[in-house]
Amino acid sequence: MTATVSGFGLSMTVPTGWEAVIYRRPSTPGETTHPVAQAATVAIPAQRGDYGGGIVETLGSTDVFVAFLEFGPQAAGSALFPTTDVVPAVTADSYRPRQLQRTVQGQAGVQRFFTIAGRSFCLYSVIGSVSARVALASAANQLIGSFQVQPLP
Amino acid sequence: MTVLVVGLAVAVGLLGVLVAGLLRGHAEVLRALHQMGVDMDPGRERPGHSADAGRVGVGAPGRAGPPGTRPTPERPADTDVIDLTGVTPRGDAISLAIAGVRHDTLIAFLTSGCATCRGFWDTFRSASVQVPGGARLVAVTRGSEAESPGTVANLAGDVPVVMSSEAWEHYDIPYAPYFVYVSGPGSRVVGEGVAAGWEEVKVLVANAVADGTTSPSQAGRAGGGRSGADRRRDDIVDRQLRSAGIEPGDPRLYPTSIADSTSGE
Repeated sequence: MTATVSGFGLSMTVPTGWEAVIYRRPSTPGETTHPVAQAATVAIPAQRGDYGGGIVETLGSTDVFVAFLEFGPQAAGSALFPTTDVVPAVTADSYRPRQLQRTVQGQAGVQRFFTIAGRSFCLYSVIGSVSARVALASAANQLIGSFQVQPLP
Repeated sequence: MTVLVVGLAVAVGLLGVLVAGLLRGHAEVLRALHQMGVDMDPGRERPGHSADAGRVGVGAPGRAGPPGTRPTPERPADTDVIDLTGVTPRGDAISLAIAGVRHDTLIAFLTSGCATCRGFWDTFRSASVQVPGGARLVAVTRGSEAESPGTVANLAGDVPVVMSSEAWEHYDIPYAPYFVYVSGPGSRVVGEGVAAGWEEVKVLVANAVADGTTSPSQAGRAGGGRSGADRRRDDIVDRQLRSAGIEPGDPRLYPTSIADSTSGE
């Protein structure tokens, strides 16, 4: 059975065995925070980092972590965040051991930047085993393909 | 005659004292049950829900009836397990996986109002809470239409909290506090019931873990299953595979050809 989580104008359909959360950290005076959507095939703890700190360390060889981190409106449509009609998928070969916020033995990561519905995002995904990247990239794409973005009012 | 009247009066007086004592004891029992979240008012009782129906220890399935029966008969199948989807007290959207995962989950259905629940909230907030057997602990309250997110946020500690009336309805929770233990690998409820305190919950879960009730092999084999020797052999094989870096679901366990199965040799 799949579930759909939605919040802050974002939504995604959660495949069986996955967990997901869409949140926005409280801001301090003078600070602006933006929504973050995370999904993983492992338990998502209450204390975690936006880029999966506290989650990716627990990934096994068959696990996947996916995060969409929104950036401010000033980034929308910029060179780093090209406008697209669909959320970009990942390929097995796009996962690289060095594309991690923190290198973890055996894992691999990928980043994609894009603007959709006038909102800019970084897609960040980590797989637990680079040798199983074909199957794990397919699993990641199942989640990524369900990510929906509503324009801000 | 006078002696007889006096004797009867004394007897009636003693009986009155006895009846008053019984009524007082009954009231104390009702008060204690009410503090545990049990409503004995027959006018509010739902069909198929007696107060005794939920009186089964967490992690002790079937001890209140035949194996496989559940104390909440409106959800007949113990495999009728859904993930916990709702919002956090801060308003974040969340979905926590319960079924088809490697870890077990102990779901604590709590309210912000009941006195017994307060004790659990205090425990969850005060320290790092460990569930026997390593199960993940999740607190579930009703949704924001029935609970104040601000109040729940103040009660919650580091334990994940999901506000979801849908989960309450699906798991057919009769009263709070109520605990449901779900085997993730078995995708099955293996125990549920009420408890007055966290220590009681821990003991019940620890007993279930020690009995093997919560293990996926047991969860998937209601009414019998493998022998103890087979289970010990399984454990040895699992340990050897793990020591070789092969976890459950590893693709090497499912070769699609003879070449695949011999490629690592």
